[in-house]
Amino acid sequence: MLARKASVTTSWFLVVIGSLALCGCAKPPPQPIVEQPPAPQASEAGSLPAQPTEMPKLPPPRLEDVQQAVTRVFKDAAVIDGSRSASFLVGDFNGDMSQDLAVILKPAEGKLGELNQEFPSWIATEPLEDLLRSKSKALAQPVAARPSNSTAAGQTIRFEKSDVLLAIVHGYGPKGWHDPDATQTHLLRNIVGTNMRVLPFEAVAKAYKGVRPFPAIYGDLIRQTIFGESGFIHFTGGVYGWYDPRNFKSGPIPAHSAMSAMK
Amino acid sequence: MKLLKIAMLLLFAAALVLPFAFTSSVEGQSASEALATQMDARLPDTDLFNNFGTLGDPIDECTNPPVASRSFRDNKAIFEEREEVDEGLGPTYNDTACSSCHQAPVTGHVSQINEFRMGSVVNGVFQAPPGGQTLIQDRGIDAEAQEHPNTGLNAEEARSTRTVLGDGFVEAIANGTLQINVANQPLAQRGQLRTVTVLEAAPNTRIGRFGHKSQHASLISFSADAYLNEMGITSPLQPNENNILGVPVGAFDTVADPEDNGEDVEAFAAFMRALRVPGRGPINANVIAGESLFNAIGCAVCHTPQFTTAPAGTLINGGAFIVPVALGNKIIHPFSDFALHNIGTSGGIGAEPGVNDRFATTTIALWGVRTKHRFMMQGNTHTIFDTIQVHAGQATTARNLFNNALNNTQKNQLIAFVLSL
Repeated sequence: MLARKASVTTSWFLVVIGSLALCGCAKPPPQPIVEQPPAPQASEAGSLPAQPTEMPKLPPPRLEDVQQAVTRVFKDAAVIDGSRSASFLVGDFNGDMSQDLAVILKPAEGKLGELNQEFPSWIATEPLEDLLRSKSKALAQPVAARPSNSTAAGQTIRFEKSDVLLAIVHGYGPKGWHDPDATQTHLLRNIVGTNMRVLPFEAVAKAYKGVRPFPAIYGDLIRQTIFGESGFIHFTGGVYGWYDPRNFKSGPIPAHSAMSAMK
Repeated sequence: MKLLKIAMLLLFAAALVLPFAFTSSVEGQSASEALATQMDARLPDTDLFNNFGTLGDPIDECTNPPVASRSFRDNKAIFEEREEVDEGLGPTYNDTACSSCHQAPVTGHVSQINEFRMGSVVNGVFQAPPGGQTLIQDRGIDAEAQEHPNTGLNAEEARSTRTVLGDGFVEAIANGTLQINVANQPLAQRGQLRTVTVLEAAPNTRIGRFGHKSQHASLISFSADAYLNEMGITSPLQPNENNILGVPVGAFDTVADPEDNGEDVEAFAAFMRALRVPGRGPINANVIAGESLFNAIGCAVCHTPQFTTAPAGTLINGGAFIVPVALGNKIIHPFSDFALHNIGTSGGIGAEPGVNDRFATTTIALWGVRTKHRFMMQGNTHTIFDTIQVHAGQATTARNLFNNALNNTQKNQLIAFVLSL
């Protein structure tokens, strides 16, 4: 009898000890996890280099270097227009303190298809499209219309073999347009005029003092005369636009409108 | 002996119950996908609601006017509510409601509206306009309150509306998660994360993630900022009115500050926290192939495809907010690293503390991008192809790989992928 009682008591004891052990394994009451504050070293490691405030000095452009840059971007789709006395200019047209190249091109013989490829490595625009359309009655030939029913995901402008083109190759880093990675290129159709020259950013205010409305200026300008109008080609932040005092309609602040960034 | 037996029995019962009494349920051990909206305005509010808080009853201005922070539907109504002059609108402002900009296709997403900033650059150094504010408000409550930035400012920048869909999940990403992601980026593409003050928990700081310059880390801070700068309404966290290019607005301001006692700001933040993430469009073989290419050429370095939010119960925002179950341990696909990069597309409007490159901008989240046709920070490209082409600076390698390493089929696939987001 005593042995049986002892056995029962031992069993009860073991059950209690076991249950208490289970309590020990139970999850403690939840404590809020506190987000770690930002680690300062990580922020510093990710800091961007400060934007340079001066453009690195580069030697004057040579034709062979220009040719190399053109080939880098266009392969053999376009060639330098040799009929011009001066076919290229350099400056910081997009204002990133890296020297850019502006070069007058023409479609290469028999290579129009390559120029009109769906996915070229350039951004094709026609800054004077509206102006040209309004002047088209005075032109010998009407302005070529863009294909309105194109379903292409890429380039929609169709170049023609008579087109005169202005390619602006953006510089990359201190080597500017000489850098092998300098391939971002804007290809402008029907924009080349006469007496083209670079108007440095610093000289813009002096040259156009008191002229209003006036677009925002990012970098150096290409000043020229076209269709009897004197004006300049300028970077708008996304593409290149044309400004002349007589035809420039949108003010400097087309903001908060449907097309606020568009010039 | 009988007493001993009873005592033993009670002890046994207690021992059995104890482990369960002190064990809480283990939630969210494995992360799950965040709820996504179909971004279809024809669907009911339930398609937007991510279960943070309560959905609430439909709001009717006559019978059931909105009450701040009562429910998702209350907060949505407040987010959509048009402010009036006697409620503090202006004196300078951009629009009258949060949903004026964050509207299409559903409340909280985007619109065609850009805000506008100006400044001047002298010898390569940026200077803010008179009064120190680069944001030029487009409207005024009085003709004389209209800002006219014709004071020699030569730098301008448009800033397109960013989506706030899914922003509650973005807020719930832990600092360390963002920092590890950036630390793993190649040096040439590495972004800069900003450490900013959490306004409601000042002086505590956190990694910024909202705005074109990652200037805010919490949705309360972001809401208070937007209420002031976009609608001209002051609140306890932003108690001072803007000026009119340096001219005080006192002559036009008849409502005592703070014009909002903080309830609206709380309601805006609560609404955004309860929004689902943008859902994907149709996914086909081209889209799947395009996703691989997107990753392979390096787009995904900055457009980070996936984050997991902090676990539910995590105290964030400098201690001001606890991540709720609806937002905790959720997998999201924002396609942004929320870091600043210079990719050569901003207007260079600077004056941001701690940012040493005025051209740097926060990677735009690509989720929901298929509802837009104006891309980049300034909204000045209209096709994905042109958008890829204007990427420069730190994105040069990825752009060059798109141009040179992919054939036309692959380029179309990559574009199809982006347009599926």
